[in-house]
Amino acid sequence: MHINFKQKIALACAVLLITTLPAQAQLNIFACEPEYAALAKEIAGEEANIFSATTAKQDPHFVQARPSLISKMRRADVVICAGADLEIGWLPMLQMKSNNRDVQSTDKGLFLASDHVENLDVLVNVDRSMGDVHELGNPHVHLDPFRISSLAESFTTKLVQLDAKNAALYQQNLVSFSERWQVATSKWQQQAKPLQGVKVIAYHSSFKYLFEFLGMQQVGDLEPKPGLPPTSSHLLSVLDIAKQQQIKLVVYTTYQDEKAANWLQDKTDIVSLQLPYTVGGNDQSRDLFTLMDQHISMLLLASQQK
Amino acid sequence: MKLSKITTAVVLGLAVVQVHAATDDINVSAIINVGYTEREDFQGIAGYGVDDHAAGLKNGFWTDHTEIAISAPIDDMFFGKLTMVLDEHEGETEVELEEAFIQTTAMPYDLSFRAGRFLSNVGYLNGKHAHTDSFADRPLVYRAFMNGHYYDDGARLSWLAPTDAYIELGTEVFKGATMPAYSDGDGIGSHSLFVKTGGDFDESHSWQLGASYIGFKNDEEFCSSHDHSEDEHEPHALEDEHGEVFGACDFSGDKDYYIVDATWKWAPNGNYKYQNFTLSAEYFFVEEKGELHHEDDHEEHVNVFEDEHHHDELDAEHSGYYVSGVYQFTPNWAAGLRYSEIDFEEPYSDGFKPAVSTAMLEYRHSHFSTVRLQYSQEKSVEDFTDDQITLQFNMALGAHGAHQF
Repeated sequence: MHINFKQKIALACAVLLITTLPAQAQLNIFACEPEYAALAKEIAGEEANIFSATTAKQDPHFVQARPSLISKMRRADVVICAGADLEIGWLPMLQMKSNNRDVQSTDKGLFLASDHVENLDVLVNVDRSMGDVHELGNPHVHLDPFRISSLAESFTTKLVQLDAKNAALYQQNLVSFSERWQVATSKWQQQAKPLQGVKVIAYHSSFKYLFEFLGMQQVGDLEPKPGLPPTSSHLLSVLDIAKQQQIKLVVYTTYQDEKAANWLQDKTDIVSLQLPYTVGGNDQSRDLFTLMDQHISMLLLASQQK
Repeated sequence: MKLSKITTAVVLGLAVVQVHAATDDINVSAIINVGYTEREDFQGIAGYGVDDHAAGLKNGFWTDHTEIAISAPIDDMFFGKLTMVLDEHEGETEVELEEAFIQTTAMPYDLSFRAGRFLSNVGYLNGKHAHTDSFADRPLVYRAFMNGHYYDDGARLSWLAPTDAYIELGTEVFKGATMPAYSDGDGIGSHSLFVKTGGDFDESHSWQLGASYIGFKNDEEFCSSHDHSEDEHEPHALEDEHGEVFGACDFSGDKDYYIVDATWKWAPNGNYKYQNFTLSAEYFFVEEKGELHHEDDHEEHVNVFEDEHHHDELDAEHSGYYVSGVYQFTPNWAAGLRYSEIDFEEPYSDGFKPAVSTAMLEYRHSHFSTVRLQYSQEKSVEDFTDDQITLQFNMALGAHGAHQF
């Protein structure tokens, strides 16, 4: 009776195996976030299979290590993520469960963006009373064009190391990307001049690198401490800042709750603005170029209102 | 003896904290899980043989499952983890080694091997640490059949299918010396098989299904629970005039569990921060074949110097399940409901089905701190209802580890 039951299980497993097909040969790239899927696409080209584990509507701090992601990671040749502990709640579990020896360490197929650029907000003495701060600094590095430029180079080096036979292709893609990116960066710098010195209130430090690039200044945060949701007492203190310093804008991402920003808008002359945090955050943000275009045009438009 | 164990744990913990300062690869975390419970004394679960671990939360203040965990990659091939748990057993606080295992991270053919002491991966809850649960205690079916959770010394081999769909197969063998297993500890005392699969319906909905088998070869002679050698023969059941009650160690023979589990998680657009809902259920089918040691303890025999001892043939089938739903409705607040019921065959019960209904409300100040208020109505023995109220503080210090789905 037992043996029959076990045999049935074994048989069912065998059938499952036979009916499912093994992975094929193209480079499989697992990106933790859409911005890194977009970067990977620029360098690895259209032929690679690129998968983004999250969308612009998901907070990358709070992703579930769900079964579909385990099987995706099992098949990955390269895993590209923000790093600096942004994905600490789910990436280690996926690495452990995927049994994929190629993506366990940065010596091999794991690429953590924060390892390759200088991070803002690196704190010397960190403790949890400060909130969910990242010891390794702010991990939202993809919103600074200069850092993206150097990430493109580092990621190309990684791809060449992993897939030497297509080295020429990756190098060629890098050259093409870098040329277009450089032209675009100069354009953005020109466009962003009116934004210099503009003070904003934001939700979390999600746009810190963008503000740094644009010369804007984040003077308040809707979160009382990183990772903690807005509270009414904290919002009152933000309201004070907003009134004293004549702030024009409060920005938040597509995965953050709009309530706090809208509350601030209702109480003051502040314009509440939802910016696409990453590729796919709105219809126009289809890649890294259009994402930055969107950021600048939306910020310009909003800051010129009233 | 117990004190020296605690001292060792503390010294070890401190030593590792110092190592942590030197290298970033070692994760040290502590879970402080303390609380207060108002309840009646535990009376057992029908007449089924269970020990103190199946009681659930202790009356009064408790510090159960407060733990220190240390984990790190050992090299490019191995990962290691050590978990020490503070637990109370019969009024004494003890440090238990709950996990001490190594696992491969780079084996070929999609295989993964684990050896040492660890939680069996059968079912949905068993492989998870109790502090990650959404309720202050384990569901009744886990308490009765798994002694809360089953961990043991052994080895596991698992394989992840090279497919788009997630399919994991695994098998485990254990020494079989911790409840609900009781064998002599020489050789293999329990073995398991499991298959897990899962995927996404769409961006907002994900699911997981599992089917497991675990079999124990039990011998009453070698029974000891959670490494305790104290007398386990004290039965936990109301002693009325019909009192057919069995101790935790009165069974000899084969005990086979077949477990099916299903989990569904929802979050709008897959964004779990603001709102999410988890529905999970597990069903246990248990076969017991062997002998049951029976000590007659009818009222009229209580004062007899030697109780009547005999062994009855046993061929019984039991089943049990729990269903739980937890809704996190803001980043700070979540509420949950759970129901668990067991259907025992004779001789443990003649038609009475033990059941527990639970409701909880929790406040999470941050990702690391949870304060939970829980109410349970426990009907685990006939003609007795226990209303339990618990206030629990569950907090994490140090590296916050990744959680399983």
